Amino acid sequence: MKKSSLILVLAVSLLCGINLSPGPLLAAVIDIPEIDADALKFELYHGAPMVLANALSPIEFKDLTIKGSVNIPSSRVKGNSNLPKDQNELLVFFCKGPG
Amino acid sequence: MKLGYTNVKQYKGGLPDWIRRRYPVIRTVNYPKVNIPLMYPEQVLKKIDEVVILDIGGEELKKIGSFTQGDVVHIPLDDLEEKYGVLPKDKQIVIVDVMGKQEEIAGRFLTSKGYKNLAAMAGGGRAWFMAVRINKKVEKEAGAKMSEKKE
Repeated sequence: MKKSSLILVLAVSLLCGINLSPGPLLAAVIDIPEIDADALKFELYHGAPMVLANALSPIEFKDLTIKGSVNIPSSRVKGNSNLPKDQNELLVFFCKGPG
Repeated sequence: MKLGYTNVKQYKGGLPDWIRRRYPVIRTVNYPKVNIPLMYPEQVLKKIDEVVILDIGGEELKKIGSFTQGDVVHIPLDDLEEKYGVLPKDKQIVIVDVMGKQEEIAGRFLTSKGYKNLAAMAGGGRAWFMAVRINKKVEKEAGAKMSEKKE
């Protein structure tokens, strides 16, 4: 897997509470910018096209998710058909939050 | 950049924060609201030959230990919807994830598929691996004492 691919996969893993070893890749993942709830709500419902990705399992996604989100489980990021076609489009990941 | 994507962000507050703010959410499947009974690792060890352990922890659980006891089926939660059919319906299934946080939703899903004899491992895989280690130590010490007595 290319380093760039690995960073996105690790970013989702980290967001969802998976423990990673310290190192340069972890540092790259931590650098992924955050978006807060209000800004996300605006972008999602009133902004330009974007993809909001729920990184939980398909079962958890069907049980409850943010309206307008799609499912990209953390183990199935690479090549997922729910990823935006336009690579410049805003792509936001979320899961169950901290703790 | 990240898989070629130039504008990736993370919403750290996640679903709980969104719900707290009463922003819109959607449910597409109504899994039954059932309480999956908890089983403590010591209880599972006593019934180890009667139960099937369902490991839904995937790679994350592999990092903290490996299962050495019992009949174990490994299906990460991400794959459970597609692969649950291999699970028996005539044995009790004890669901295990890393910390015990995803066992309930897995149990509710399996209930919707007709599985009735389910339990969730209290404390998840971390508690299970620790209990197995302690149990082995106790058995070893008991074995050593027996040998001393015979001598």
